[in-house]
Amino acid sequence: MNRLPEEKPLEVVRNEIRADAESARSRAPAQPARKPPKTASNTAPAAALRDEFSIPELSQAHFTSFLEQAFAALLRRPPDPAGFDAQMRLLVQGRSKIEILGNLRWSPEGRDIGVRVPWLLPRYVLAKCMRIPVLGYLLEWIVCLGGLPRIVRHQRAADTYHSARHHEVLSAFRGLQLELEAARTEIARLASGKVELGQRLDGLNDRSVQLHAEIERAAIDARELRHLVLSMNHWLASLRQNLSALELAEADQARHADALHADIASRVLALDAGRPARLDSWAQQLAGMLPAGAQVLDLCSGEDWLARLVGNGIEATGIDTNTEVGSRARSAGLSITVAEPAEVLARTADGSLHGLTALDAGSLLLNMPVSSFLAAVRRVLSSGGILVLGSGRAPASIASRLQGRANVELDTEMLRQTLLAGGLVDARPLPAADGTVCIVARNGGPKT
Amino acid sequence: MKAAILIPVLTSKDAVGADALAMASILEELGIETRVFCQSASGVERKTYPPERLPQFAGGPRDLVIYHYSTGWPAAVELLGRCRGFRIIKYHNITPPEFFSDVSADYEIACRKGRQEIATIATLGCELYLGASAYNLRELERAGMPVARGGVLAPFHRVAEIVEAEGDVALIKQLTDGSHNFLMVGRVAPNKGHLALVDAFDAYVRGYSADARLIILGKIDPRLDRYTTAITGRIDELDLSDRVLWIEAASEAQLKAAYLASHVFMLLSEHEGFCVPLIESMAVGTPIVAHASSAVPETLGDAGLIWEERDPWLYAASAARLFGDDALRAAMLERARLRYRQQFSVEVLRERFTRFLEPVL
Repeated sequence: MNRLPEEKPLEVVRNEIRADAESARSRAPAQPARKPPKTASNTAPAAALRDEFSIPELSQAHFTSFLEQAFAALLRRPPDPAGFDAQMRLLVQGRSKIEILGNLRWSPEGRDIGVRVPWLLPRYVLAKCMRIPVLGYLLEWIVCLGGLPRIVRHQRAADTYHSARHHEVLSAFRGLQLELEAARTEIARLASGKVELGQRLDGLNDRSVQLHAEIERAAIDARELRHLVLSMNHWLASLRQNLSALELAEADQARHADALHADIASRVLALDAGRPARLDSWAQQLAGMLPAGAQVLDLCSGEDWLARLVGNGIEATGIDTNTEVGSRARSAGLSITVAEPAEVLARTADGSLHGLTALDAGSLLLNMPVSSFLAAVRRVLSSGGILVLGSGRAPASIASRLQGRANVELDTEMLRQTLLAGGLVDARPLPAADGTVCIVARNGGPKT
Repeated sequence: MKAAILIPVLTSKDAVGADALAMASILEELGIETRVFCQSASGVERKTYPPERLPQFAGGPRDLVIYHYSTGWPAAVELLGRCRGFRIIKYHNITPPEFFSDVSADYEIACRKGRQEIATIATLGCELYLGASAYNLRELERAGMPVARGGVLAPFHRVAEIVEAEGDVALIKQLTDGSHNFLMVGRVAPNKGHLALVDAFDAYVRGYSADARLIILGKIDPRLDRYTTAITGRIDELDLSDRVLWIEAASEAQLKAAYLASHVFMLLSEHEGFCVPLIESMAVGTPIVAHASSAVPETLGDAGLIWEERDPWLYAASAARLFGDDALRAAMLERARLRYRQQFSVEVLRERFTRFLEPVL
């Protein structure tokens, strides 16, 4: 089934109409009591079955009605176009109705049917005789002369009839004149309306022209705006590309710097022959202080320290700012994250660590006030958790120096006092074999 | 080459006459000398000739004869048998006599004779048979016409003249009083379904709104008085006399006015060979609700609401829906205009007619 444009499918509409029809049928008031039907007035079929007609009966109708009645009565059928045309032509030529009736009655078809019309035959023969040249003319003269009084009577009746008809026609004509007058008035009114409509149409046309001009202007503005937007878009895309290139270059440069700093730091630290033993000693001592599987976070102490913590059974995670250091530590299988220590401490959950180490506390405190550092330490360490701070060199402090920053010089006592002042307890030096110390302290409990 | 149009009675205003005259004009525009042969003519300016002269004018092997078959006429069969050129039968259909059985014995006999002639015409061996619709063509096929010689050509019509005509202002004024107008156009004959139309109109008045008018526009034939009386009797029974307007012998302006002022064209006819008023409605823009009988579905297509059932409430509900559903009405009218333009405009019909003539041109 087809669909209506942008409308319900036609089948849906049809179903709705069906439902509505049922609903209307049920809600409609009852049908009015039917009046008895009128009796049909068409009697033609009954007439056609009669076997006898009188001449006045058949000839009282006029023109086409006469022919139709004659065909129906004498041939019992409607006139066929050819037959109708032929008999009509005779009537128009002034032949008598008697002759037409005779033509039909004594046609082969009429003879077969054989309807009786008393006195038609002699009058038909007489009418036909009048068609004989010369003799027929004289005969018609005689017949007309004989029937002159009757013709005159008919003439008088016809005069009266035509006078009455003439009067009716005149009345109708006057009526028509009045209607014509009214029609002319209406036409005049419509004509004036047409002029007014024309003026309004002109006005509308003018407004339409203005509107079109404005639309055209708006279209030009829109095109210009579109051009500008496209240009800006292009410019923004270029800018984004340039920024990306700059960012890439900067990142590249930072990677190069990190690699350089890491390389320098490892060279410098390699010169410190006592560092491995020192770190081993501290790591072993620290492991002794912590429970098995203790969680320890190291801040920027170098991957060698991280490796030693792990080597002593500690679950150590390192934080370093140098991407190269991070990369090397991960290559060695250590857990390390490249990030700012202050940010990592801020994100670490309260009391989640058993230990925190920072062997290069000087470089740490370059980027983080000591008060913030101590507060963070106390928050992230569990109660009794261990803090180890050293003042030695690590890759971070070496990198700081390379970046031109001053080194924060811390002596161990100063560190110890700082930690005690910060609320940690049991702050004491943790000596190595070569005599180097770092400071170890415990988190005493929640900060008051 | 000469061309002859053969038609029993030529009247400019009936559908068959309009078709015949249009064909004659087109043939002349194609440069073919053309004459119209008929027994009688009325209201036609064109000169016509007696049928018996046809073989003398266009009976040669290179001539063309087109017979418009719409009534029984034995003389035509005899004339066609005497022509040796390209013979075309244009079949407009003949109403089955059963429709007239209780109405008019004259019409019943005339229609029976006319339909009895179908087999003779179909097997006459003419070179081309054109049905005004596929429905008509199927009748010829069933009567023995060779299928390969058949084609469909809708009748040429005077719809463009109606569209261009000025409507009768007084009638429009009379009809635009706020009532919904139901229109039926067609001669008052028993196959046209006027009784069912009155029932549907009554259903609308009782079920939806009493502000409605039924306009029955068409020639009233005194010989079908029994049928006309049955219609008026039904109207009286249903107490609808005040709501029914009869317009007999309408002028072009009145016809246009009736289409313009009507809200629905409702056709419940039971037999149509094509139905020109449908395409008049399509062209002028009157929504259509119709009963799917004979050639009506084919002519209407999807340009109106059409029902197989005869239930008057369906037609009443369809009219009510069209009155209230602007989108549906607009869509129907758009389709109707499109269908008229694509299928039934004179330009389209002319192109199809010329294509059918290609073998002889």
